Amino acid sequence: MSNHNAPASRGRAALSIDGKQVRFEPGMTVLQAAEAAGVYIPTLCTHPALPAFGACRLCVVAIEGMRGFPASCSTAARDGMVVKTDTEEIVRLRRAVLELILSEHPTGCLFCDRKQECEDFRGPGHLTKAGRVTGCMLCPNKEECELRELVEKIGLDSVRFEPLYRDLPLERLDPFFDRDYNLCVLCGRCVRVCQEIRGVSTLDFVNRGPETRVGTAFGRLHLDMGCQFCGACVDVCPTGALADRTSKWEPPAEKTVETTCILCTVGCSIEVSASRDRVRSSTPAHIGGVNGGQVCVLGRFGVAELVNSRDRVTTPLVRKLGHLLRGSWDEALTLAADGLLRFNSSETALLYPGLLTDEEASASRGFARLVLKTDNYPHRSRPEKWGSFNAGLEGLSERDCVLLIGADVTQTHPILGHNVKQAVDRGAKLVIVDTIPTFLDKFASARVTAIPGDFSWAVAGLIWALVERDASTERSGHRRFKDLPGWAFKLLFEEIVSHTKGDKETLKQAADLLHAASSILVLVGREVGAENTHKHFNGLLSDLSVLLSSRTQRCEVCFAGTTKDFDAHWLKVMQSIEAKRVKALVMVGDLVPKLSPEWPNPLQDLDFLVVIDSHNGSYTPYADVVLPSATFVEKEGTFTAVDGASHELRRAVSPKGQSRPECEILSLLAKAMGTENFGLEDLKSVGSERSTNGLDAVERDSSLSEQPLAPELSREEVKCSAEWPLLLINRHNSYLLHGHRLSRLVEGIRSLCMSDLVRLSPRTADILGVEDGEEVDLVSEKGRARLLVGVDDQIPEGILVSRLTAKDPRLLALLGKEQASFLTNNAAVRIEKIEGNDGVL
Amino acid sequence: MSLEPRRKEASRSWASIQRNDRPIIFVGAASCGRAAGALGVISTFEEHLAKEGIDATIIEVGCVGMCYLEPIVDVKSPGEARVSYPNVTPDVVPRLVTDHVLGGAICEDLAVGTVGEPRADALPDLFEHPMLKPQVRRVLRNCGLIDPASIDHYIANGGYLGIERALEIGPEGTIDEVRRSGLRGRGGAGFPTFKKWQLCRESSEEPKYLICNADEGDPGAFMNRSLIEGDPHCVLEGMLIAGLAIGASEGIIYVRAEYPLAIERLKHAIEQMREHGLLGRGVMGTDFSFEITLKEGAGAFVCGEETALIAALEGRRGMPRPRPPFPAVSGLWAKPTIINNVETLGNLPQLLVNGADWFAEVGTEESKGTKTFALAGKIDRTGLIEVALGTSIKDIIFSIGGGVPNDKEFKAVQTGGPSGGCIPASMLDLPVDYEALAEAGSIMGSGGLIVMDEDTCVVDIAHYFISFTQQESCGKCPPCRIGTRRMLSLLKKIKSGKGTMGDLALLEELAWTVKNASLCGLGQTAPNPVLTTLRYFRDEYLEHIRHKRCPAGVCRKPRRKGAEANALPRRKAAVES
Repeated sequence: MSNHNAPASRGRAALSIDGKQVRFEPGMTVLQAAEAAGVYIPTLCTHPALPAFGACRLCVVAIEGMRGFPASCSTAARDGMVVKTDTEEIVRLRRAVLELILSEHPTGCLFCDRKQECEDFRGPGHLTKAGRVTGCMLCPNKEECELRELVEKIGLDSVRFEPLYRDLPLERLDPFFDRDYNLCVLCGRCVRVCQEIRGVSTLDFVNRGPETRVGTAFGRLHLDMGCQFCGACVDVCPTGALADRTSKWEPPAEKTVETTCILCTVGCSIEVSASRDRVRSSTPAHIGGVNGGQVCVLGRFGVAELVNSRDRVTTPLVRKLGHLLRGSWDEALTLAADGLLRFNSSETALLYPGLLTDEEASASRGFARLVLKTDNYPHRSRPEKWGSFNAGLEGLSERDCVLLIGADVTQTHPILGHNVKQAVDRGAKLVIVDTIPTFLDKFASARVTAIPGDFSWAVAGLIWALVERDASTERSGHRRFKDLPGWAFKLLFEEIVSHTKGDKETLKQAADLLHAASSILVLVGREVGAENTHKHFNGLLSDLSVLLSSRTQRCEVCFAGTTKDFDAHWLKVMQSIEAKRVKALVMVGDLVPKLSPEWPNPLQDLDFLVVIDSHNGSYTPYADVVLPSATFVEKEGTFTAVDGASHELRRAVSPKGQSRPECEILSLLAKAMGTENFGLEDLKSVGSERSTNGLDAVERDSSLSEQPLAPELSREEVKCSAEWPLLLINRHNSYLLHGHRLSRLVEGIRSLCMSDLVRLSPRTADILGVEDGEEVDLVSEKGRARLLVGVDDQIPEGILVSRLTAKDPRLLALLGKEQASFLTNNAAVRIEKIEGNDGVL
Repeated sequence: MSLEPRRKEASRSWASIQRNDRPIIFVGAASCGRAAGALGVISTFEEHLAKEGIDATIIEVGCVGMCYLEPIVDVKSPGEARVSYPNVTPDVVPRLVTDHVLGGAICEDLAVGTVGEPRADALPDLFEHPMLKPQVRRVLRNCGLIDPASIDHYIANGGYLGIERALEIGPEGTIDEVRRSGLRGRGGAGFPTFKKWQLCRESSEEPKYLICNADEGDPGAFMNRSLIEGDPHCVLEGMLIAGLAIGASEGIIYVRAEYPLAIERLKHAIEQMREHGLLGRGVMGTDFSFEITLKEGAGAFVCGEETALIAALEGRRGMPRPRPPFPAVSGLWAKPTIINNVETLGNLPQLLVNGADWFAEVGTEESKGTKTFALAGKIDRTGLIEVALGTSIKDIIFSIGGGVPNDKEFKAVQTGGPSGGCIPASMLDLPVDYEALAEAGSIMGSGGLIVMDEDTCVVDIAHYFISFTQQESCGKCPPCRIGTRRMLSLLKKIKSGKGTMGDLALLEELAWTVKNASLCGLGQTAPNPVLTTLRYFRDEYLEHIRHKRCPAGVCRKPRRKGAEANALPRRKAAVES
């Protein structure tokens, strides 16, 4: 085989297709070569994102020297091959196969004798009502149907077999998309994208013979099968079997705009399609971007629902006679300006959320500094710290080893998780240090267990194992290790092992993998918690990277999802409000937790509150002025992702109602407050600062940052005791936009969040005498919270796992008011059964 | 660890059977024997021997191939002949015990022959029986004669000499020996075994895998099962030889879960091999290391197809993938993998011991050696046979199989199971070799022969096989998944007397489509029963269509018979019920 490919590598390889000489690149299939040369070969199961499957048999060709009719999609092109695509037999075969496929697919719209007349009413701008009235609109996939194209190209006009309608019920019990397997042609694209690209395996073929279907194991709901609702299956479906529920009956897209999703910090490229100035759907952009044609549930299904939400603020609101009423922009701006000017600059503060465009973040900081002249605002430009700017996300898949330390990236940065998985697909080794099992575990080559507070020990263990390894192979490692500035050498290996709950073998195995790699990315995630701030931990991390850096090895340490500095600012401002040091606040987004008896909402202590927000939030009882802002698909700008890469935002639709982009609002407000010319110039200067000095330029530039805002960091580890025997680990779900919980704004996300569940192992449940679905009280030293029990055999014993958002009052109650610095998400708790509750609700 | 010391012990053990000092009772207790009641016979024997106070040994042996005579019981008194009694029921056991075991008198009226030496005057040698005499028993040579649970019996009969020779001449030598022998894959397609091996051997990828395909799924075929049940070590030794030749260190047996006895025998035999240093690190003290594991299939016919089998082994749904790449290049876990049929592997030990020339003594120019066949259907002597390739169908059915019972007329024989075709009576002189059968529109297949008499309707037979393949299609490619279903409904229509000439044309066209467009062997061969019956028995189809009549009287029988309810239009049947 290699001999055949040898000439190909010199770029001279060519084959003949229907007598035409066609050049091809090495590694191409016959189908790809034909497509590149403009020769049409029909196919159904092939998709550019997927490896060849060879199922649909429409792309059969005749190749000299090969038996029968090989499928061109799975036959490698070879130099000198003679391919025929249009012999009488092949044409007959194709027609016959397509006829068979269509005998099990509704064909009303394919063979309708009034098809031509119907064509006039298709396309952008036309409503689908007519189709539904006439009854021929069974299928939601009106414009992208690949069967229609095949029928036209192959020229079929009828099916000789009795049509077979499977009469399966429409599957609608899962969020986001409907599944109508009556329209399925079993091309297997969805199954393959789910298994091979996303690594989730929710879908597979079920049954066999003529009863073969696409479905889940035992017909269970996608929600119960670990489906991530990334929508990749919907996007590859050639028929209307899988359809996005929100856009299914919308008119076809009038335009699509490629922009960047800012619902998390990965910075995925998405295509937003719109018709009549309304967002219809968002899909991953096919080419380029860090996401490489994939996107997560937020980017796929969240955007349209979020932008079109009924919860949008569309007009400015002003408080009159104690009521928040609609007002005009002028009125609202005047009221806001007058209100803010009543206070001393030190009595004012500004808060903005993590996820804003660069311009907006700069404008917010600039507004605080130059207009409010206060120091009470988040000084860091971005909430997240990444570390090395050389290690971008795009290069991730070229790494040959990824070490995740407390980084459940599939939850915190879904596409980053997907990129790690893809790196593994390309042969990279994955080493995971974490407490509870994560989605990426099944792709890991080694896994070290560390409970919160012991992540330092796990890193020390890795260092130790690496050094031991070097010593045994008589490299100079031992000496090198002694030279390290860190802490590890003071620790005994046995102690390390006892702390990591792992055995030596796992650590050694992990060390072997790290040692063998040439390019390592260490990703430190949110789950490391409070330890992230320890000198210990950071010292150990730098030891590790020193050990793994040599002439032949490259190692970079990056952080994903650690927002501690940013949150510390937030807490500090909240505390100042409570202490009446801050009396007026400008808040971008909805950044306050809901009222809870344990911690009354600090906003009630404010004298004046201006909110700039796109959606209605929990501030309504306290706001004096609400200024409607545009969402990210309604404005332009740049967005700096977690890895420092800059992405462009483009406007897909105009801002809803009277809403305006934040920059514009802040500029108008500044003007109303008497600061002329705040706006464009400032933003430009901020932009150039960023490009020359990196992200933190603004922060360093700030003369006011002398006074540290961050409270004293807690160094105490959470310790379990007889009184508080269980360790509660809260894993965020990161579905936040401007402080709004997306689960509130997007219906489907609500069912995904499971935010009321506390998961524990079956054995722990047995010991405690609690059942699946039972409501219990979690009691910590600081407070109590009521949650539902979920029994999950993936959870280690003695550990409770919840997924409450960072600002959930129940979490804050358990962690305690002082502890709610988000440096730790863990608490030692016990479970109390609720009196008079006889068990499962 | 050399096997030499064990050989002596094995010979002693085997000799103690030949020159026994207490009575031995051999019971054919393979699946066929058990189905005929062998286990009941054994317990009755135990009961009566205990009652009479006789100290006798009962040995469960495999099947000698005469399944229609099962359960066969061989009784051997000390120093006397080993006498075979066919169709033993618990009723005749007391007589065998009192007369033969206790009294030393052979029940001549019941006996069918003697096995080996010494002989009994009044009885013929069993192997002179018309069913056994024309056979060339190489693979099956031990079946029914030795205790399959005893490695000693196997060793004493020349066992593990083949691997010794292979280790002596080395992998290249072994491949060369197999090349010269002309051995072709016995799984059905008949690809030269050495070619596959060579491709795998030459690959630089490591590790390499050897898979023994024991997923025998054809209806009416039981060659592999019988061989494993009767002589498991023969197959395992074949695996050692093949593993050595291709450079594999791991062998996997993919066996149907529906073969519990075969699985038990294999597990036991693998354990014995390990005890004797025939598996693990350093087989027989050499530097060749080999491990064998067992994987039970979950009952999908398509998993006999090699790429689907590999998918199943990898824990995925058993669905074939397009070839190339062939498994010999990229198979299990994307490593070079050789998949050999049970019988191919069973041929290897003898081939190595006796040499390529001996192997090629029998057979035809293109098809060397012997082939086992499972005789089933309307045939007098149902059973498992082994004949030289090139033997005519007539010899197999009439000389060995005893022809069609009840004075009925022979009509056709289906070779190769659902993937094969119908050979009509007019072609009885056709020799069974790979090329001749392909020429006739059928295939050799793994060796099932289903005989049909005049009472069999070929349309019904085609309907049966298509219903099997459509059920067993994996569903991946439309021609197979939908095409077979459509063929089935057309056949159903014709059977029920509603077919038209248009349907017949459509059926033929569909058959052509399915054959040419399908992804794997299952689909590509599925239309064979229809195509061959159309080729040789078109009149019968026309009779069904034009005159709404089934010449064999099978289709559309009177309603009350019930069994043929499917031949009736469904709605009418529903109204009636």
